[in-house]
Amino acid sequence: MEERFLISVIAKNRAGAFSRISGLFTQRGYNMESIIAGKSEKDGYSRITIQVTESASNIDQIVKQLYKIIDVEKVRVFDNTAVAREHMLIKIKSDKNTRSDIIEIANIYRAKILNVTQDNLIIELTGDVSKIEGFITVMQDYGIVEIARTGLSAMARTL
Amino acid sequence: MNTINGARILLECLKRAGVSDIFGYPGGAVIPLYDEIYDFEGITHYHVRHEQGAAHAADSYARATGKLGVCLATSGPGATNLVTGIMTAHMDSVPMLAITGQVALSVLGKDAFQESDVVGITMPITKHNYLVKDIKDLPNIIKEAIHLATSGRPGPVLVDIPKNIQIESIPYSEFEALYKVDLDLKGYQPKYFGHPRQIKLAAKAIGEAKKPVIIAGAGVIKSGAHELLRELAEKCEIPVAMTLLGLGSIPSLHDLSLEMLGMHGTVYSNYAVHNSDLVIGIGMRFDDRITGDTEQFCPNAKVIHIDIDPAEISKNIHADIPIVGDVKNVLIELLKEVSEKINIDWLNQIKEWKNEYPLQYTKRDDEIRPQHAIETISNITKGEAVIITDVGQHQMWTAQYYKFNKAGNFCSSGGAGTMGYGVPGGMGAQVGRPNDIVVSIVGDGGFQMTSQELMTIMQYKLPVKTVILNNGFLGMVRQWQEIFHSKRYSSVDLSMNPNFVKLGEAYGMTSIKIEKPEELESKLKEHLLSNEPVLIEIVVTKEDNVFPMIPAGKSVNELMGKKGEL
Repeated sequence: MEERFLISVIAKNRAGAFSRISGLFTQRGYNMESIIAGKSEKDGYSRITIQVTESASNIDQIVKQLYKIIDVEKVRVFDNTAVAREHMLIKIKSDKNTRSDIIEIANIYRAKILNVTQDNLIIELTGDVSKIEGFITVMQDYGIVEIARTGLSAMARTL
Repeated sequence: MNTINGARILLECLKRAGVSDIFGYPGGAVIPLYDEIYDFEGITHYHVRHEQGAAHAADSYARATGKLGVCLATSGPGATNLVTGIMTAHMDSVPMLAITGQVALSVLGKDAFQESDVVGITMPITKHNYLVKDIKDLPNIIKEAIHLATSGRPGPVLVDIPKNIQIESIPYSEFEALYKVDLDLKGYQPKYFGHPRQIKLAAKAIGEAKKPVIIAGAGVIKSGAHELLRELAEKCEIPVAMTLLGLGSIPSLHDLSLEMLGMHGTVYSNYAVHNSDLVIGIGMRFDDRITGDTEQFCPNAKVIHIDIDPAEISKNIHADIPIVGDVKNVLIELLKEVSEKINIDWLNQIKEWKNEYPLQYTKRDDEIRPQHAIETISNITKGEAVIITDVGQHQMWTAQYYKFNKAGNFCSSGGAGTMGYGVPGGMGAQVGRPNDIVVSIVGDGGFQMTSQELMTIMQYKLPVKTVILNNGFLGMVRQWQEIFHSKRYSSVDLSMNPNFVKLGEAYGMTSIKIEKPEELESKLKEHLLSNEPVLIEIVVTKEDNVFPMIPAGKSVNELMGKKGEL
C-alpha cells in the first residue's frame, strides 16, 4: 500500500549533491511530490526535505539508496507525529469591494497581507497541507492570480 | 621556485596510489595532460583506438588484477565514448577511475567546442564524480576518487578536469601540503564487519538446515574470499551454485560445485536452489537473471544474505538473516561459529540430478558445435587461463563449458551485458596479467563493435588470443526469436560478415580459421599456447541454442532444454 512519507536528508553542500539526490528519484522511478533544500544548522551542510508517495518497503530501499550517495550524511523518515509545514505566497484579485472580505478570511487563517495594490493582494500563509489547500479553495471565489508554494518542510518532535 | 602543474599533480597522485597502467586517447582538452605523460616515469600509457576500448580495457584490467583500472579521454565526444564502459563497470561494481578533460573554466557552460556535461551524464552510472574547479582541490579529489572507487562496494568514479587547471601551477611544497590533508568522508563509512549476532543466527540456521545451498557471486572473488568459501562449503557440506561473475569462487569441477545458476545455469543448480530450505547468498545481488520470477524463487527457503552494500539486502529477495559486511571478514567469523556437518541425503539428491541432467551436447563430425570449441579451449588451458568474453550465446557457453579452476580469471560484462567488451577486455586483462594465458572469446557480432583494438594489441605486442565463435548470427537474439517469435529472424543475420582472417592480417596479426571438428584441438593447441597475439576464427553451427534455459521472468518449473536440446 502506498502512503505519503516525509524524508529528511542532511547532505554536504557540494556541487551536484542536490542533483544526485533528486536524480535518484527519477533514476529508480520513485514518486516524488516535493523536494526542498536549504541551509541546515550545520555549517556547509544542507537539509533537504522530500515528500514521496510509496510503499513502506520502497521507502526502506529509498533510504538505503540515499545513504549510498557519498555526500549524504544522515537520512530520517518522519512518522505522522512530526511537525510538517508548508509556506505559500498567493496573489488574489481584489478591488475595493472584495478587499475587506479577503482580509477577514486571511485573518481567520492567520495569514499575513504582504502587499496591497488597486487590483490585487499578496498573502503569506504557513501551515500544514490541509490548511494551505483549504485557504486556496476559499480564495478561488475571488480569483487566484498566482501561487508559490515551497513544499513541505518538517521536523521530528523528539530529539 | 619549484612548481607543479595540474596535469602532473594528477599523474603524481596516480603513481602514489600504485597506478602503473592507463588506457587512454588524446584530444584537445587533454593535450596538457598528454604533454606530461610524454616523459612521466612509472606509468605506462596504452594508446587505444577508441575511447570505449580504453574504458573496457581498464575495467577488465581491474577485474583480472583486483587493482584500480584507469582510463582517460578528452572532453565532449571523447568523454561520451567512455560512457558505455563506465556503465559496464558500474553494473558489475568494478573499481575504475575515469579521467576526462574539460573545456577551460572561462568557457565552461558556454557550449564551447567539444564541451559536454560529462559529470551530469555520468551521475547515475558512477559511484561518485567530480568537476575540478580549483587546482588546489585536485590532490584531494584524486585521492578521494581512488579511495571511493576501490573501497566498500567498488565502482567507477569520474574526475572531469578543465584544461586550464591542467596547465595552472602551484608551488611543489603547496602540493605536498594539500596532498597530506586527510579525506573528509563522514557520509561514506562502509561496514566491513558483519554483526556478530547476525553471524550467530546464520551459523544456527546452517546447523539446522537439511537442504542448504550457497549462491556465490562476484563479491566472493572481489573480497578474496574464495578459499574461505570453499572451507565453509566443505566443513558444512553445502553445495555451491555460482552467478555468472561468481564463477571461479569454487572450482567448477569440485564435488560441491553446482556451477552456474539462473537463466542458462545448470539444471542441478536451479533445482538445488528451488528445493533448498536455506539459501546463503554471498556477495551477490539476486539479479533477475538469477531469480527469474521472484515470487517463485526458492519458495521454501530461509535466506541468509551476506553483502557489503546494505541497499542490496531485501532489494529483490527478502533476507531473513541479513549480514552487511565484507565477505571475507564475515566468512572468517562465520567459520568460527559453524560446526562440521553432513547433509548426506541432500547431496545424494543433488548427485541424482547431476547424473540425470548433466550439461550436455552431442558432438558432430561435419561441423564444430560451439560447446565443443569451448570445452576444447578449457581442456587445453586446464581451466586456468584468464578468460574474457563478449556478450551473447558464446558468453553463456563459456560460462557452462569452461571449467574454471581458479578465482579471478573471468572477465565478462554481466549486469550491463555490453557487446563490444570482449576485444578490449582481452587487451586490458593481458596488460594486467602479462605472464598468463589470456583468451578472449567473442561472437562475430560483438567482435565487430570494437575490433579496432586489435591494432592496440599489436602495437603493444600483447599475446592475447582472440577467439571468434562465428555462427553468422546475433545468436542470442536469434535464439529468442526462434523460441518466442516463431523464427521471425529480424535483423540478426550476419551472413554479410567481413573476412575475419584477412581483417586480422590487415592489423598484422597471425590469424587462422578453424572449420573442421578434427582440426579443432590441434590448431587450438598450436595457437592458444603461443606467445604472440593471435586471432582465431572458429566457424560453428549456425543455429545452435544455449540450453538449459529458464525464460525471462519464469521459474524452474518452466526450465527448457534440460537435456541440452528441445
